[in-house]
Order: sequence, then structure tokens, then C-alpha cells
Amino acid sequence: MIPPDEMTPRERMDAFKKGLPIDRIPCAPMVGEHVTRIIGVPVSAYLHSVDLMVEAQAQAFRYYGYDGVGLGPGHHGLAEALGARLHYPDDDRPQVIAPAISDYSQLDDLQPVEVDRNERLSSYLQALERIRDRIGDRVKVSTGVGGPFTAAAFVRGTDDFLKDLRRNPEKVHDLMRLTTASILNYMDAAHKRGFSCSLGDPIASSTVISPSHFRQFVKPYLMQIVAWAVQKTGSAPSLHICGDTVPIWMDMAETGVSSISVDNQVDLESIKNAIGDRVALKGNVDPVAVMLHGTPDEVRRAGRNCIKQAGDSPGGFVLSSGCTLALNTPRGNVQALMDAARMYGRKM
Amino acid sequence: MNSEILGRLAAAVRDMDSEAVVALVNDSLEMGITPVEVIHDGLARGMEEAGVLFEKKEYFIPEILLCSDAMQAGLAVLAPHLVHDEGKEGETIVIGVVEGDIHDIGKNLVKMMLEVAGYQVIDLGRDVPAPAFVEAVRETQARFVCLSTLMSTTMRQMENVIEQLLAEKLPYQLKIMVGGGPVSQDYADRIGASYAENAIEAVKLIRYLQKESGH
Repeated sequence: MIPPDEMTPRERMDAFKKGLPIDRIPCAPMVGEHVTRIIGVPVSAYLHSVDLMVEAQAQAFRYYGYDGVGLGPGHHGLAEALGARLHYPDDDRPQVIAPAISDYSQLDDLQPVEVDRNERLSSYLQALERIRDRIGDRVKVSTGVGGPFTAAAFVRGTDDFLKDLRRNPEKVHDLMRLTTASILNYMDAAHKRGFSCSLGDPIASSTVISPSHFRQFVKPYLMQIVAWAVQKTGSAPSLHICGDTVPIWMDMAETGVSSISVDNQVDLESIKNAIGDRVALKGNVDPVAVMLHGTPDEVRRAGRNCIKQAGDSPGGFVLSSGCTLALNTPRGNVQALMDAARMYGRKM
Repeated sequence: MNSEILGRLAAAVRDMDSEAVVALVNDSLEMGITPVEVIHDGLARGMEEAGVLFEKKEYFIPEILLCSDAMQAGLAVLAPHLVHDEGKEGETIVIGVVEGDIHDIGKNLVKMMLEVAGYQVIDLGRDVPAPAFVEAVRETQARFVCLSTLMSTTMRQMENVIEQLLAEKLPYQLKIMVGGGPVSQDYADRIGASYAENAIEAVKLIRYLQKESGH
């Protein structure tokens, strides 16, 4: 009933990147720390152990067979490296409990992160190398980091940071320069080890800030990062912004990123028509209502709907969840999304 | 006259101008306008206008936060004058962000709108364990509880709070409202709660629920 794959995830994504024929629509749900459920370990333990990161990622890939394996500090790890204090619950994603600075006089003391001097950041890259040794022949292994705006918000304290957009814009730019430089350092360290790096910047969405603020405070820095990546590594990173991004699609595409990953509020057909020729698209099954709370049938239907809307996008389309999966997403549902790609996304 | 200065006060809140708000509140008090009027026709009006701009997608979170600061600045000036006037007017409402979640911008907005609308709000803060909600309801005999969360992973806590509150077998009907990013009308229906999409809707909902139960 479910057509078998004719390519490995590695082969499929290599061909996809080059615009060559592939057997089916790729599928890469944003699993995040859900991988810990496959080996049954606490999230906090996983995030502090290279061994557990390797084991969880390898087992999860073996279980689901999705088209990309990713691991990285995300936005929390980057903020932590810059001095924000995190709380690591046993059973949930980390949360920022104290910003790095309480006022801008302390900003002068902060330097962009240096990966080799930072044990936690280095641990992700170590884990990635071992994961690649183990499964890199079958699937592309890459990393991801938080975007400059979200990182800046965590460094400063989100509420204050958002208010600073109007009451202290100069300092916001200082912060953005700091986080951008840190991101480039991480991307450079990843690149030296052969890993591409994607960006995720949730606080930059139009759910939070106006498109005008996006253009003023986020876009220029994303463009810097993309320019660096293209020049240094030969390719542009992908960008994920969850929440409402309809008013800023064009701006996101104009940053030059290679792929844009969107949340379920976004109409895939509309974004395909708007910018599908310039960037690859990824998304956008509702991670809560469908992936977490829905039935496998509902997941398959949602996947089919996404493929119907954007499967023919000229720049390419990857089926995924709209945002990171809830930790307790039923395995059957993740599997159902993979099945949807096989059942409804055949290309050969 | 009154409406003129209160109109300007509302505009100052909407325009995120804390200094102007403080000055206009002081002027209003000097003119003999009651604190209640200053809140309802000045500060609350301004916050409502900000809410409308938010719904129209002209204002976003930064603007709402700054309007909220401006309003808080005005409320701070009024605080010493309110003790006698406010007294026991206003239904008691318990509000908090459920255990495991520390996102509270939304909850703070709802709290503020409720206070400005005249309700007595017991704010339990964030990352609030279920027993704390139960305790607060028991102590205050509140008829309304508002639960907030921004994370899908902590939505389950809402059901937990409801379960524990029902187990209390209160001698009156308790109304529970839920809200936050991952929460939906569907979900609220499923767990036996009422749903409000944002702070403005929350105030409207509570008024409606009050009327429904004959208050």
C-alpha cells in the first residue's frame, strides 16, 4: 500500500539540492528533543551528554527514516553561551530563566561566542561528528542554531528587548551585532567540521513584531549571515520562523536563504505562488492540533494537503511539521507523516 | 471638560507615552475626576484602543508592552487614591500560567485588562502547580479561574488543574477559562472550559459568563 523508497535519504536530499530527479517528496519533521522518547531518557540528560545525543539521534533515525538529521544548540544554547541562565527540566525543553544582562552597561563585557572555548557548544559538534560516522552514509547530518533576533531577546530579557525596539534602538543594534557575530562563529566551526547550519528565529515572526521592525532589526542581520555563508561555504542556510510570517515572506526570501520553513498559519499554496520559484519551501503540518492530538489518518490527510499545495513548487518542497514537535507526539503520527510523503508524494 | 482630558489620557496610553500619562492622571485628579473614572474612561479606554490596533495588526507585542507600561505608570499614580474607592467592587478572578511554563506576557495582558475592567485579580504568576490554583480558589471563593499556557507540552496541566478543582466539590459553580498559543476552542470544549482568544475577548467572556450565571 505504501510505495517503498527507491533512494536513501542521503541520495534523495543530494539530488534535491541539485534539482535532480527524486523518487518522492522529502519528509523531515522537526523532531527536536522528541528523539529522547525513542531511547527513553530525560531531556536534560540528553542535552548534557554527547553519548546520549548520539544514541538518541541514531535510534530515532533508524526508527523513522526521515530525510534529515539535525542537532544543535538552537536558540537556547546560543543564549546560554552568551550568559543567559537556562533551566533544564527533566522532561521538557530548556527555558531561559535569567537574561545575560540586566542593563546595557553590561553589554560591553560580552564578547561573541568562541566555540572552541565553549564546552557546551563544542559538545554539539562532537556529537554531530559521531552521528555522522554512524549514519552519515544514509542521511545528511547537519546542525542548527538560533537566529540573531531570538538570541538577542534571550540575552537581554524578552519583554525588555521588545520594548527596546522603540525606546533604545541603538542598543538593539549593538545586541544584534553581538549575536550575529556569535552565529557566524558557530557556523564557521560547524563548517570546518563539514556541517551546514540552519537558522531558527521564532521571536522575529509577525506574531510578535511588526514587519517594519523585522525589516529594521532582523533582515539586515540575516542578510549578513547569508552573505557570509554563501561566500565561505558556497551555500545559503535555511531559515525557520514559526508563527505568522505571511507579511514577511518577501523579506525572508530577499535575505537570500536557500529554504524557508513555515508554520501551519501560513497557506502553503499562497507562499508557493509568491516565492516558490526563489526558495525551497518546508512545512507545515500543525504540530499541536494534528501531530500531537490528531489521529494517524488526520496526519496523513494533512500531509497530503501540504503536498497538494506545494509539492510542485519550482524551488522544491520538503514535507514537515510547522514547528518543532511536542515531546510526546505519538510515534504513529510521526510515522504517518513519513507515510504521507510516500503515499502522496511520489515523483517517479 | 472631563471627557476631553480623559480622551487625551486614553490617547497617551495608546501612544505609549508614560510621561504624558502620569501628567494627565495628575491633572485629572486635580480637576476632581474620580480615580474610577480616570481608569475606565482614560486608562482602560486607551488600552482598549491599543487592543483594537493589535487586532488590526497595526500594533504588535512591543507596542502592547509599552502601552501596558504607560498604563501601569498611570495606575501607580492612582494607587494611593484607589484604596477608598475600589473597596470590594469587582468579582474575584484567579489567574496564572500553568506549571512548567514561564511565558507570561499574555497572562499579564489579560490580568491587566481584567483589573482595569474592575475585577479583583489574584495573580498566581507563572509555573503554578495545580494545588496552588486550588488553594487560591478555596481561600478567596473565587468563581472564575483563568489558566494560560504558551506551550503544547504543558496544556495537559490545564486538565490537571480542572480535575483538582472539580475534586474540591465547591458549593458554587466555578467557571474556568483557558487561553494561550496552542489552546483552541476545540481544546477548551474537550476539557470542559471556556476559551478566549486574547485579552479583550477574555474580558468580554467573563462579563458574558457573569450574566449567564445571573450576577
